[in-house]
Amino acid sequence: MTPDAPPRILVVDDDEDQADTIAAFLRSAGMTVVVAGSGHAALREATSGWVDAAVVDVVMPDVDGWRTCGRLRDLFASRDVPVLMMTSLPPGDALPRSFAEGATGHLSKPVRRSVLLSTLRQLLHR
Amino acid sequence: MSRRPVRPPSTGSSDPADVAGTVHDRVAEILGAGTPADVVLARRMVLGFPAKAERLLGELDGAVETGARGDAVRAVHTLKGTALNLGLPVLAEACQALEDAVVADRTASALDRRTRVLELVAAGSELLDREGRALPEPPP
Repeated sequence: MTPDAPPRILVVDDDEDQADTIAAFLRSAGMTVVVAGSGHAALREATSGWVDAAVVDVVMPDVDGWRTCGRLRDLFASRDVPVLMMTSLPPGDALPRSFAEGATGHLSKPVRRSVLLSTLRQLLHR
Repeated sequence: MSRRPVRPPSTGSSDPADVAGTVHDRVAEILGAGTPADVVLARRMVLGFPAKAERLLGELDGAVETGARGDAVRAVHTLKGTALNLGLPVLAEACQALEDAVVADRTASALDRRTRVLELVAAGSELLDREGRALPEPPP
């Protein structure tokens, strides 16, 4: 992320409504958003273009969010790219797994606009 | 640079009496500044809820019939996420109970819980219909 360019955020969710909600919240704050509908698509996007942070749903078919997070972490090995997990799974089950897979943060659904933006800004400016 | 976990508080009411207000607040949050794109998204989600719920419950039934438990769990899980995203926490709780029954393969319990989910989908659809009628018209 250059000082002038808005951060480019990768949003990963197989549910189009959820992905578009998150994308709309981020765009309203001036961020650039790339949406991926699967873990495979997320990895393609992360390989082909610059990503400043990723917001990843946990429960997805094929490659779930945790595996996606682990692979993104490998892909971003040379950079400190925040990966924020989001899920409606009970936090007691999901939180430890998210952090074990290398997530930087974890949000419970419903993801509130203000919480998402403040969390992401905090992570981007560490 | 450190990679310190950030754990914001979870949000969302579970009080059934609060559902109408929760739906209204959430729809307003999705509508945001009311740009044309916001209006299109809010209308699609709010007015499309009954059809989406019906599709997901159909996927659940089909998956249960064929013994595809993972697909069944995913369908209910998606409905739960949809409910939360639209400010329907009581429906989300009912979906969680159904999801638990499907995971544990408790058929009788799952049937009861599916009935409860269906009732709450109907109630949620009414609330969302009311919200939908108050939304701005879509851009031309």
